[in-house]
Amino acid sequence: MKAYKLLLLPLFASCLASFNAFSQDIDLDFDSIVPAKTKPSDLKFLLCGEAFTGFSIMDNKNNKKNDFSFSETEFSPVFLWKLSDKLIYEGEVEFRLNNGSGFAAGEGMKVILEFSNFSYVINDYMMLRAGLFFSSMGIFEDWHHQQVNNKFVSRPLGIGHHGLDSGTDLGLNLRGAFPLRNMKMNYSFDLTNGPKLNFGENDEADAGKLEWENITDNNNNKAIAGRIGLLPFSNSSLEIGGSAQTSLIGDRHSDYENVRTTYFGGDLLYNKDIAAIKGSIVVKSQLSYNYIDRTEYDFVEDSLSKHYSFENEAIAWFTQLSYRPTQAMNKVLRKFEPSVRYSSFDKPEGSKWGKDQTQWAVTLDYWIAWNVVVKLSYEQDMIKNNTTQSRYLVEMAMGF
Amino acid sequence: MKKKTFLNRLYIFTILSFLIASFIFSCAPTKEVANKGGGQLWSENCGRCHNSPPASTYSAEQWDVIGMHMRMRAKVTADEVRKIIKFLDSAK
Repeated sequence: MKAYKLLLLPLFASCLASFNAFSQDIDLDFDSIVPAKTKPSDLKFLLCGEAFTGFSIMDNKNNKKNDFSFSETEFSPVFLWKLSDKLIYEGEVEFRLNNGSGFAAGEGMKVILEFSNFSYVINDYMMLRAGLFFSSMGIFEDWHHQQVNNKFVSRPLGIGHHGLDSGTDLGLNLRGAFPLRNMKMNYSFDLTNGPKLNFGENDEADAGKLEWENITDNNNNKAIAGRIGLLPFSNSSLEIGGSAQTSLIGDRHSDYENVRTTYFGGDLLYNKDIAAIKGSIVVKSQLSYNYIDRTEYDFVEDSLSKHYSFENEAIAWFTQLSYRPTQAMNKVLRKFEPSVRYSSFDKPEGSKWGKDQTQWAVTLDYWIAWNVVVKLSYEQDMIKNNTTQSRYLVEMAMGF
Repeated sequence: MKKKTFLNRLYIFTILSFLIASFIFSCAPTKEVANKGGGQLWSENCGRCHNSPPASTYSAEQWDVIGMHMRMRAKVTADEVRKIIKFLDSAK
């Protein structure tokens, strides 16, 4: 483990050095970053984002009637400011009606800063980002979680935000892409606050979980994450990626200060027009594996304080296939896009949180326009103790 | 071999492979790739995660912002973004 830590920082530094070998001169002329005298045309702004709404019919085995409710509604504007050819800002705020009652902030409506960061173009192959951004753990959260990109209404089990991946994190990110003969490669490396360990201080059942979205770091150890993607075909139809993340997660000077979390992930995105099936297919897949060092957690039983520990490793993965008959003669048929997805989540054995489950989901999307979709989905969860839950979900989503 | 040791070594191997690959392979693309036009790059890259908007959806200034944003978020290469933006401006 010590040799592993010793190698990490030099490897990260040599990554930066290796790209320097291919880089153009780094421009430190601050006037070129943001010109002192800006004309109106120097600042370019775009308001975009997405909105969605829907309803769900949940299979309620306890009653004869199913639970029917108009459900999650969200409006998420994204603000893009291109300050110069070297500097761009992106920020997204989510206004979400989720659970409970009341449409005001603090009641049933949540206001969330999804991301807010500045990106500086170092050269053609490197961009440095600072602020709140999607982490380099997998690609689902960064590319696919938006409702207008996600073919389904729900997320795959255990993937992304509130799953095994972090979603967003605060820190620095270095990223870029470059050609490799007929292939392309891209990379993304993070240095962030990282997660902290929930040791059951508020709820014993949550012991061993990771808590993300930390505005202040609970220790001086920063999380290091990275993803490398390879596009092996010259038409960019296939991308295969591998990601990893590690950090110490215990509070400084606590019994848990040397507890480490390690994440590994793999992802795949395949996109191809195929004349033989008169349409295009999209295959998306991601595997996330997380391990937290074995440690002891306290709990109270019969007024006695006790300890327990468990092998804290969890695995989540999904794979999905979509088909759109883009070359069909019938114009209406071309707007339909059926998809099927299988996802699985294995919780740590011995933990008091989570449940082992798998899920099948099928959806039929109808594209009213390139950026407006109506989704009809059916999902069935199979939980380890042989219970099943199913639901019908309908959603309308729009990107703007 | 213990699982953690194996995973640590796999992690280091992946980083090292990436470094070696970046030195062994020149950044220069082949002629076939370098000669691709903006229209072809547009169709290959811009529909990977979402439907591609028609060129007339946004103004030239807006496409300029989107191009830089996509270079950062989707990790499209700088050369590809330049060609795609030029194509979209000419296609309006």
